[in-house]
Amino acid sequence: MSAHPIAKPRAAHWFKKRVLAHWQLLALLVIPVAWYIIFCYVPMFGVQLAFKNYKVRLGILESPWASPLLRHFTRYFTSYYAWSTIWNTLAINLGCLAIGFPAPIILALMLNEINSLRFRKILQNITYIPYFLSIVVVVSMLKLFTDQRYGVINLFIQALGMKPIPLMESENYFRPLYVISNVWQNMGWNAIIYIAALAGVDTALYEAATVDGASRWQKIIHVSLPCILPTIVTLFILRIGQLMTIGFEKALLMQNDLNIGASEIISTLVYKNGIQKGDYSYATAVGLMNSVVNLILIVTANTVCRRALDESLW
Amino acid sequence: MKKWLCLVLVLCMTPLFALADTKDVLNTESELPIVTEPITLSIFGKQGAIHADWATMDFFQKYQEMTGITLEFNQAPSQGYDEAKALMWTNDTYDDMLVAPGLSGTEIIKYGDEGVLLPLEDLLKEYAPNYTALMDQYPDVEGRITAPDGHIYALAAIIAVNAARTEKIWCNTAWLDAVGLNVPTTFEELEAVLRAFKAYDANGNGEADEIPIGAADLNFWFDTMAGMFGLQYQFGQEMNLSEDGKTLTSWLTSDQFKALLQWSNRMYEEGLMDPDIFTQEYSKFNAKMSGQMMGIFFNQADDAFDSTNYIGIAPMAGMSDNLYVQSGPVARDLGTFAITCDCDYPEAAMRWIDYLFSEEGSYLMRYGIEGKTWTRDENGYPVYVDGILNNPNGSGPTIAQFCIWPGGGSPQYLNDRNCIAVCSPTTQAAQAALDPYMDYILYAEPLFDAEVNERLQILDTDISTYMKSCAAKFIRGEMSFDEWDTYCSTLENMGLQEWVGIYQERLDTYQ
Repeated sequence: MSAHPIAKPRAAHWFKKRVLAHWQLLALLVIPVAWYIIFCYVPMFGVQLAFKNYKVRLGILESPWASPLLRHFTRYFTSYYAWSTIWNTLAINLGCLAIGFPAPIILALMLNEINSLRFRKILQNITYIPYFLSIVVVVSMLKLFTDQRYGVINLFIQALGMKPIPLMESENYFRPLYVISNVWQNMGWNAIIYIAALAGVDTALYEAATVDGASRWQKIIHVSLPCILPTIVTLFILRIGQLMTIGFEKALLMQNDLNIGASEIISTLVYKNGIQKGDYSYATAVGLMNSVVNLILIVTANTVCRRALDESLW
Repeated sequence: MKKWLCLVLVLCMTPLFALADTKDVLNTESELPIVTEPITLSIFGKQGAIHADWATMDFFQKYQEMTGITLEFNQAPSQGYDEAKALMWTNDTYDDMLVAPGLSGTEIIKYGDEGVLLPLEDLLKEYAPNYTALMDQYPDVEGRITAPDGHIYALAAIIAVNAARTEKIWCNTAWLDAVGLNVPTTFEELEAVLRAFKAYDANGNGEADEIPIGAADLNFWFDTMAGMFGLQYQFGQEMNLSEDGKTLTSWLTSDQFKALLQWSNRMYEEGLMDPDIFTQEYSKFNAKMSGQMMGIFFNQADDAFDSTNYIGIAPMAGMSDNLYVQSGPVARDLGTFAITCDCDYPEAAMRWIDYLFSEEGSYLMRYGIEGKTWTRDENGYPVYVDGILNNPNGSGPTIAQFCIWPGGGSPQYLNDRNCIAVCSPTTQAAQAALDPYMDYILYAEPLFDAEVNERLQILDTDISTYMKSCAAKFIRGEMSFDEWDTYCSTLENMGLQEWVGIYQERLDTYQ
């Protein structure tokens, strides 16, 4: 009957052994895979908009190609604010990386050194609760705290006998405010993964170090840190891949005429042109440019880490 | 057999054809009802923050009865409206009518050109006697709403009252009395008044919390102050028209504008100008108005505050020989009504909107149901019943429970007879102070074709962002006036001349 009398039972066997046996794991996998397909791969179909003049009645496929093809990219790069939006995006991210990346590691190491379990739990909860605040709330708090006349920060500065500083209304303070509030909000949450990694460290290593006469500090440097290094590197590479990405919400909420020189980033520009003005082709082109830069950055970071630290994503 | 089939098919299709001819449902005997058989039209628009649900409003309820046209309400709330509107365009099908959708010039051109919005000019001629009559009465309306391709894709509101198109200069007379000074007429007097407000505790509460002069934001500040420095807003932009009426120049790099910034800088440094002007939300400004916290400020009407202690004053002399008051055009709100390509009954839709531009229709639109929220005075003109204009919640929010016009942007015909809610006697008097300065040619913002418009958008975004951020820094002293030349040359590099040139080209076609 069958053309392959032997192959079939073998395939069936393979299917039974490798697939059916692990159906629970596969079922779990279905959700993230579906998520990626629906929200990451399907929308890629729309990337062609960057090279088209989108007409709503014709739809994505039928809309005519832009002439020249890179017209919307040229439009972006010839606008006066193009380079400053790129720089602003990078600068904020570099700041977040420089301060926001080590902060959770230090926090995790510090928490790890606390002996009282109760105190540690309380501290951990306090540091990660801000993560659950909405960005709108965080920005409103920032505005209240930095108010020139009634804000806590400026009242304090005035109490020291100095002139109040227009924190929200200045290009110079936009980035520090953004970065610090970001660190405050996300540090506790981001520390969880390091705390988990530290919990997995073999206690025998610490005991051996103690026997060798290592101080507390030396144990952190020579035991804890090396043990969580793979986690750090992985997260670092992933973070580099987002170096050109920031959600537009926070920057947009913090934006005003006075700090726009520092607060206009790529994603706020895309939001304003794409969603508010309906210039979808232009917004797609800028977004695509952004993603390409991200891809280049992550590949570079991965290569560098593989060469230098022998740790990498792939 | 085949013949039979054909016959059956033809017979089946005949009623379909009859249905497809929408003119048959129109009532040709009288103005109302509009249709002889009930039809349904869906509408999309912006439901203002203070509006009640559109579906429950007296105006819509009554108008559905009167017209025989049932409405299907698909309006979006004002919060996040821009996003809702942007997404609406990408829908597969559109609502039949866009009512108070707040269409920008760019959208009108873009979606008119792409065929989403129906060209209305032929429908207007045939089915809109009221709107056409208004277009004849106010000739500049047609130029403003006609796209460069000759089509009219959206109708504008007709604001036939000067007082509804200007920002008044309100001055607190109680504070003036408290400091013993007269209404200022020159910049010198103005400065003296502002300093006195601050120094002598004008509101008498023992604290130096007075805001001598304020505005909602920097745009509003310039809108009013620029005219006192001899600056105009031709085509709605920062441009002056030469005396022979032929040449436009941008004043963003002019000495007068520099003088305006220097004066503002001085007011800011002395603490006379509200420092919140650069960042505040409109609601905060609103609170300052209703809280009587400002000595002098700019606002269109006195509907947002108790004007017992305020009068409208004239622009200050002393900085320029020519004083101007900026005013919006008669077709102030562009894009207040459009019909989409998916509408099966465009004729009925046109008659639906046109009635609201008749005298009686405008009463319905602005006053609600006769006998319930308004009555007629001895001249037959409408007056609100008691408890609306003097409602403790404010007249706007009260009226917004039964009419859609509060909040702006709705298709409406505002005239001397029906404007009481926005033009109180005090507001009319404030307007009278401005009238002498409105006697000059002022062109309204036109519609450009898609390609020019796209270029204009980029130039405009760059220039206005840069100008606003620099102006704020000049005023706050974060940029010194030594850097004025750098500011000017940066603007030039951004394409200031190209920007002016686009408008100049349009002006040339008017000659």
